[in-house]
Amino acid sequence: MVKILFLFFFFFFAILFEASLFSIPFALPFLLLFFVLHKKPSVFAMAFIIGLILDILHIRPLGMTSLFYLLLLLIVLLYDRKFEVISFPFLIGATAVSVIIYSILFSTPFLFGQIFFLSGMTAGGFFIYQKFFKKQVQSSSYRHV
Amino acid sequence: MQKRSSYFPLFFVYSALSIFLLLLTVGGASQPLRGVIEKIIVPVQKNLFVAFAQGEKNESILTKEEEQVRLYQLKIEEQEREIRALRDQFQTTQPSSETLLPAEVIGFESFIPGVSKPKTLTLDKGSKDGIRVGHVIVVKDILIGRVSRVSESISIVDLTTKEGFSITAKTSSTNALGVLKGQGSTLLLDNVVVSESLKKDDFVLTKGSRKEDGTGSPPDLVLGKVSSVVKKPSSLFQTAEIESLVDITRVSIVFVLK
Repeated sequence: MVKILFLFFFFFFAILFEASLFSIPFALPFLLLFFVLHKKPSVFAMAFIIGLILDILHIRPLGMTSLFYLLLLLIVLLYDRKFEVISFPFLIGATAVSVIIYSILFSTPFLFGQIFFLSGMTAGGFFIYQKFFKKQVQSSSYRHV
Repeated sequence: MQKRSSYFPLFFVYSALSIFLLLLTVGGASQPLRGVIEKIIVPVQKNLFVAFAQGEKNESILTKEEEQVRLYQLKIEEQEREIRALRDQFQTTQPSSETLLPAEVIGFESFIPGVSKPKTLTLDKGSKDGIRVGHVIVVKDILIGRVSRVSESISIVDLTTKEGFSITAKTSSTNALGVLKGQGSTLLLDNVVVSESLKKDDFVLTKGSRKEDGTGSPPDLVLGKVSSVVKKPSSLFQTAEIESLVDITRVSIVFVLK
């Protein structure tokens, strides 16, 4: 319960920071990291809600960002069969590519700065998670079918 | 542990919902949903923006009483800012105060402090307050932008510096006509015929193109000041770089010209 509340506030403030102060897609690397590390079906619901709130705050067509986030998670899920997704190269690469597409779709500024900053954030987040919750990371992977 | 296949139905359900919402937006039926969520989020966004963007520094650990005093001070400071902005605005004779609607800035789009300047502003007023796409935004008698997107409780304003923004303009002393264009972070007065005279430090004003529904700009609103002139004898037109007179990142209250 505490974990869910923590995540709720974390994402809520990431969204508000993105909408009010800095035009950097903060929610994107966290969503990616959370999905790769936890692989819970609820992440799809989170992606949908986060996208919806961002669309409302930016006065974009409703569902646009949600659809982008959902497709991103689906691609990560499909890649999981062929690559080791719980790794620095994959997370950094996936963040960079998704930031580029996000920037093209929603015309956010300073693309290269965003790529470096957000990839760094993903790598930093992954490093911290690995250092403190390594056991959970390994055991939370789903069964390959 | 989850099977991969268990994710697909969820993906399709949420994707279908997103597409449904997209279609609702296209059909113009998404306003009630927007309105409900905006009512919850906009006040939080406003407080967050006031606390972080308007120069409030993070203090070290505060006791509960100190925190309450700080919150009270913040409220007073916010009200003082509002009174100052209103007084300044109502002291200006043009545009007339009856047509102005004060609105608070609650966000910047495309803004990274120290890296890029804002291209748009988010205001805490929307269609329910009578704001429409095309209304111009002023601070005193300076035009700072034009409303480009409106929802029930918020609106987004394209600043004059935004790429793609253009407005017919004239200079104050020589009446030279041209088109003011946003260049990302600067302004450019373009399409001024070579025979016209452009002077450094001359003010650039709006030519005026007010429509019956209140959208568009009235004449003689200030757009900026000429900082340099580029005139080539071989060219038909001359251009001038225009300096904006407002630091938009420091503005907390603006006025919608209705």
